[in-house]
Amino acid sequence: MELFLVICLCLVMLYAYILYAQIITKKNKALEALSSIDVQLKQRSSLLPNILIVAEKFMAHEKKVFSEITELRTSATQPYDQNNMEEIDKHLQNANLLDRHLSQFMLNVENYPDLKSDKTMIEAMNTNSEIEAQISASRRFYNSSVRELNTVIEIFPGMVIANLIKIKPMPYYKAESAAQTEVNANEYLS
Amino acid sequence: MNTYRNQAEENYSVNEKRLIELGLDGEFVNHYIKYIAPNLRTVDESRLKIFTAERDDYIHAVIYGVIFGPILGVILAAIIVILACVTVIPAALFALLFIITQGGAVILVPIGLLGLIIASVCCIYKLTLNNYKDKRQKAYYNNINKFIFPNIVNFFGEDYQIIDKTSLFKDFLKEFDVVTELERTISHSVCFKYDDIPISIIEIESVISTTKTNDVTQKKWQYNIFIVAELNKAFSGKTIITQDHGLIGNQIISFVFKSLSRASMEDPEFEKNYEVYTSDQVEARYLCTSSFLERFNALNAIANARVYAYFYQKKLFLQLIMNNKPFYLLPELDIEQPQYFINVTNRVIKETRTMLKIIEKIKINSAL
Repeated sequence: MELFLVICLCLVMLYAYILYAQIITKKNKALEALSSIDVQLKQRSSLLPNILIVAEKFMAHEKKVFSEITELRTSATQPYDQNNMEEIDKHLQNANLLDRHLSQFMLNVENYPDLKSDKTMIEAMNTNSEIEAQISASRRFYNSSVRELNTVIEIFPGMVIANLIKIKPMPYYKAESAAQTEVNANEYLS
Repeated sequence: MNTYRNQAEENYSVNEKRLIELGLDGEFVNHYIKYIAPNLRTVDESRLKIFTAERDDYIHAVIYGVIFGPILGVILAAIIVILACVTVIPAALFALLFIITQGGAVILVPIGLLGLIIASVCCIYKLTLNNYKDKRQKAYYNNINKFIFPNIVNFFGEDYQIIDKTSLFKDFLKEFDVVTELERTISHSVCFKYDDIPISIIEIESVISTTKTNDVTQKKWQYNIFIVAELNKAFSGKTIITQDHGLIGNQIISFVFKSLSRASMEDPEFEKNYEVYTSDQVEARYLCTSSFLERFNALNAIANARVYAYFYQKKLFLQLIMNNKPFYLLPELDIEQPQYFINVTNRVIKETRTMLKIIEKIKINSAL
């Protein structure tokens, strides 16, 4: 009987360890995915000044847009604590805002044929769309990793282990591009 | 010989009615008359050479045997006699004395040697004949590759060419080992540009297993078509899309691709049918966009084959494992008969159209 209990205890401990290892692996994978987003965000941030410098020549009267983008760029690249879920969430929201503003800015560029045909601008826009694709891929990797992690730590008995080692569900990086925001047709028709 | 010649002459003169009677795809008739019919004579002459040269080989064997056989025989006999005369070796003297005392033996020895030499020369010729025959058959097949296939594929556009790109392809095969090396034939590839994207279609026929029963070896073949597209996307890793093989099958596959990790995709329909393995998780998603996954999922219905994809060295290798033998691998032609290449043409047209549908469906020209 005692032997049976010892074997059961060993099996439970082994299972708990496997679960623990699984949670840590998945968390690390999610953090790796988060880092890959940051790499792309940084790449875009370093590209932004080039775009803005060229655009300012043609869109001098839209200074407000430039200052907004510059502010968002600064906040999106600020360091944050990767173990603090709120900070991660805020960081991702900032990135989202920058995404939205930048998409709207790129749409506005269409209204300036001279700017649109500028060689530097064309190159910058191509690079930007390439980075957008990379950010989208990183976002999908991140969300997939977060989904795997959250599924394990929100279901019993993973929930218990996660509480013990203080691992919380991570926030998703929800795409909130201009395409998803409400389009005001009057803006384009006027 | 005349029969062959007459059949060939008949073959050279084809008209629209005759071609339709023979079952040629209606849309292709004009193209056939313009581009393929003028080449039938050239190709068929190389086929006829197989037979004319075979006859000539036999005649030459006899002539050479008759002329050079006696000469060589006499020379050889003379050498023996001279050697016997000049040598001081007792055995040679004994042989000389034996020849002199036996009288007619002096003549019999060269005659015997002569017979031997004629027989040898004939035999050597006979042995080498098959080799020559193979070479001539190859020349015939080469002419088909040179004059017929390119003119069939250029029906789809002037940039459609038959080019040997197999050496490039071997690197890929070495890297992924997806086609067994046991025994395989790689055909020349059809290369063309689709919306400025260079594309090659390559076929590989390979033996996947051999079984031996009652001294009879049976081979199980696998027929693969690879569509290779050079992508504009920048990537440096390896990403593979394989069919879902069930729980155990997938475990075995993940062991085969042990340097790669599994990447789960968001499309549930795609996830049901396929598995993705990659050396870079972000890159896998960069290449396999949501719309690409949807399009890839719809390929099975068009291709009528098992579909796999490999992203490697800035190229997409789309592997289709077919149930039937594909078209560009040279069919086993009856060399006794002049060829119209009707069946080959029909198959090439039909299957090239299928390949183009696949390329269109997968939108290789888009950013995937």
